[in-house]
Formats: sequence, C-alpha cells, structure tokens
Amino acid sequence: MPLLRLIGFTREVTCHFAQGEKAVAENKPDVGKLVDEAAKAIGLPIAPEYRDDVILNYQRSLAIVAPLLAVDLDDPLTPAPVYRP
Amino acid sequence: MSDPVSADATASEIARAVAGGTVKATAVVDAALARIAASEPKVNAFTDIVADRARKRAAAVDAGGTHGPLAGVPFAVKNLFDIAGLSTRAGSKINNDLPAAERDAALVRRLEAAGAILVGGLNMGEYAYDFTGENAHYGPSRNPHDPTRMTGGSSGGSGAAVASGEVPLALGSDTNGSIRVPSALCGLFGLKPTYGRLSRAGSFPFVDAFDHLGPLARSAEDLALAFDAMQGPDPDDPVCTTRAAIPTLPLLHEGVGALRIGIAGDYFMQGAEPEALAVVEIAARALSAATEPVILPDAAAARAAAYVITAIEGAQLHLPRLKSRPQDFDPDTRERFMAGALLPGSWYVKAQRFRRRYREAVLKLFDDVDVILAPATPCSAPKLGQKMMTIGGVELPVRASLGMFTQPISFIGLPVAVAPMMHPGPMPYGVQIIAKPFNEQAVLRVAHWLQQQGIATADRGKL
Repeated sequence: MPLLRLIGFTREVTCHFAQGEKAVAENKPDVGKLVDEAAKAIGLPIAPEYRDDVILNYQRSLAIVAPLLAVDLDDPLTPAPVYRP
Repeated sequence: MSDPVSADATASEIARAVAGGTVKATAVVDAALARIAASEPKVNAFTDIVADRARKRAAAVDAGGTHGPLAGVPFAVKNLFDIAGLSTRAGSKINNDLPAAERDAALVRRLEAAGAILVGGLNMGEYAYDFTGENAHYGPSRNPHDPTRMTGGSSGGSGAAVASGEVPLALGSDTNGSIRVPSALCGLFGLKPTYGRLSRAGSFPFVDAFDHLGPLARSAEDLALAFDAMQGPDPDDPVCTTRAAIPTLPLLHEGVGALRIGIAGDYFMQGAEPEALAVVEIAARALSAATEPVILPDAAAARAAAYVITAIEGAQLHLPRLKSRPQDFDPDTRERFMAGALLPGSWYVKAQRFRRRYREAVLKLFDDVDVILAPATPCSAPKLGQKMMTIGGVELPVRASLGMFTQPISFIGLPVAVAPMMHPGPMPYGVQIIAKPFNEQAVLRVAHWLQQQGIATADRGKL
C-alpha cells in the first residue's frame, strides 16, 4: 500500500475508532449489567448494599470521561510514562 | 513580628528566634502541644501526637545538638507519611493492622535534619481519594474559619492544623489537588512542587503517576524555607529527580517585575462561583498580568484523563483490600474504588497517550509566559456532609468537583503555589500560581509578593 494511502487509511481507522468511542459513550450501556459482569471477570465480590453506589460511580465516570473520549489522537503518540530498566 | 511561642508565629519567625537565642525550642514545642490539646476538640486535625518524641528533640535542639534553618519549628504530617513506631494509617482503618514504620519518611528526616520538630500525624481522607477532608473512621477535619465547613482534602488535617495555629507548618500530599484544595479552603499558602522534585520515600502511595508531596504554611517564606530543606535526590524514590536542588529562599525577595504573568482562560474561567474567579482577577491586576488569557488546550480532557488514571491506578492498588475487607473501607471511597477497578483499560491507555500531547502543548505556553494564574477551587468551603452543590445553575457532586481546576495541572506535574485570598465574606479562596517544571522559585516569588502587598493573606481561623 503506498505510503500516502496508508496514512489516509490510518486516519480513517483512527477516526472510525474515535467515533466508535463516542458512540459507546452516547449509547448509554446497561451499567448494572456491565458492573456485574466486569466484577465477576476480576473476581471482585460486590455486596448488594454496595452495588447501587458502584453503578452510580460508574455512570459518573462515563460522564466525566466524555471529553477525553472525544479527543482524536495520532497513531505515533505513545503513552507518556517512560520505563527505565 | 509575632511572639515565637504564639499561634500566630510563622516557621521563619520561630526559627530566627530559636537561632538567635531569644526563645527555647522546648518552650515553642510545649506551646504547640498545649494549643493542639486545646484546639483538637474543635478542628480534629490530628490522629497521632508524638509529644514525648517532640519534647526530647526540642531539648536536643536547645542543647545545641541540632542547628539548621528550621531550628525549633514544630510541624506535623499527613498520616500517610511514615512516622517511626506508628502504623501508617493513610486515613484508613485497614492500615492500622500494618506493622509500625521502622523509620520516618524521607521528608520528615530532612525537615528534622534542618532542626524542625515533628509533633504528630494528621487526619486525611481515606487513602487520599478525597477532596473534602471528611473521614468516616476518624471524623472530619473541621475548617478553622467555620467548623461547620469542610477543610478540603485529602490533606484536610494539614489544612486544619496550620489554619488553626496548632502548628506553623504541615506536610501534605497532592495527587489531583490534595494540597491545593485545603490550602484554598482553609486560607493557607501551599506548594505542590514539580512531579519528582521531592522524595516520596516512606509515604503510602495512591497514584504513582501523579503523587506529589509538599508543604502548607501561613507564609510563602515558610513554604520556601521548608521546600529548600526537603529538596535533593533520593534513590529510595525511583521518580525523584537527580537534578541538583535549586534553592528558592535566596531569590524570594526579588519581586515579580521580570516575570511574564498570564491568566488561564477558557476552561478556567467557567463553572465557578464569581468570587472564585474574582480573586484571580484581583491578583492578576496587582501583578499587571497580560490581559489576553492563556489557553491550556483541552483542559477538560486533561481533567478527564487525570480522573481515569486516578480511578484505575488507585483501584488497582487497593484491589486486594477491596476483595478481602470491603466492609472496612470508608463508604465514601469504597464504591468509587470498586467502580474504578472495572473501568476499561483502553481509557487508561488513551489517557496516558493524551497526557503526552497535552504536556507538549502546555509546555509551549511557557515560551511566552513564566507564570499562569488560575482559580484553585470553584467555590469556598462547602458544609460538612454536603454532597451536591449548585454553580451557575448546574448541580454538581461536591466530591468530584472541588478539584476541577487543580487536576489539569497536576496531571502533567507542573509546580504550583496556592496564594490564599480573603474575599469580602468569612471564607477564603485560593489562586493557583503555575510555572514550568522545576521553576518553583517563580511561583514562590509571586506568592510572596502577593503576601507582601497584602493581597494574599493567611489569616488564622478564630475558633
């Protein structure tokens, strides 16, 4: 694939994923189910008396993270931490 | 000049008096311990008092065993700092089961090497995941300007102890604003140094990517005095810089004429009470700041990214305890930690990738300015127990919103001083004074100048 086409393709894919993230944030997932299943996956028991507040906090996280999910990042942008062996 | 044994004495005044032989360190420490005993029922700043240790150390200072720039200055530390012989609570009940620390945290050792005298450990929000100063296990620290109000957190005890005059100097930690929020709400000067500038060895962690330690005091000079005593490399903290110390005290009185000063615009001019923005304007006018605002690009995304990294790193740290002892967590942190443990990994990586871009963009701003001013909090101290607040007609959760202006700055590790401003009315506000990495000298010079001009004032709460 010629370089310019590859760059264009990469941008399309990046854009597609960014739009996908926005769509997830806007589609209001079933947070109760998400919390229950994710907790099972990591072996974290959530007692019934804590569950509602965990769900509430997860919903707040979905709202707070929205500005980050809306940002498009170029592929060469690697994470900030620098590991020095 | 205050009486060095009084509640109004600053650390600098005490150190000068002790060094000059006009007062004994033992008298200073005894007076501090007496104030603590009298004030604690009202402010609840301390969880641990090490009176015997403090008196022994004061006697040693008086006997000429220790000389230094902080000779005889009583201080206290947020209880996530190791204190030899005590379990490091980090605001929790669970950590009380840990073995006692074998030695003091690095910064405690450095302050004591400079002659200061530790008098105790201070209350804090559980595991530092807090902006309020409330704690279900030990009770809330109370604001000395109005004990029905929050100190801010998570270094709430540090704010209460200094603002009440129990001690002139305290250490806190700041991951997302935990030094700057209580400094603003309690009316104190506070310094969150550059990420990696001060050693974190011997302190209980929260979010390695953002954890900072620093001082709170009633003068900018005291911040500089303490900061200079604590600087320097430390192989025990892998993040601590190997750069040589850059003393700030010698240049503190240089004034601000040579500094280019701007105001943070856009994100930092919205979503706050008018008074919180007005104090920034007052400081900016006095400093002849540029009228064109400085725009930190994507600051809202920076706050979101800081939130995500905090939630996920903090939850991962505590996951074993969340599984084994959930009932022993403070209810105000437990469900937030649990939710953080379940957030998508892709959010975390995106937040880290974004951090690099944001850092590069913000550092470019310092080509044109040396210092940027911004509000410290969106409001003055909320009432204890208050869960929601309304700003500009929008209802917001108190706990998450108090750090909205501090998070985008600590996210990239910039040095920040808070200058306290008494707006007409009983409760203080704070101004963040922000500079490029390792330019603590600039932020402290500005804070000191504002205090010298009477614009920033750290009045003691009159309980």
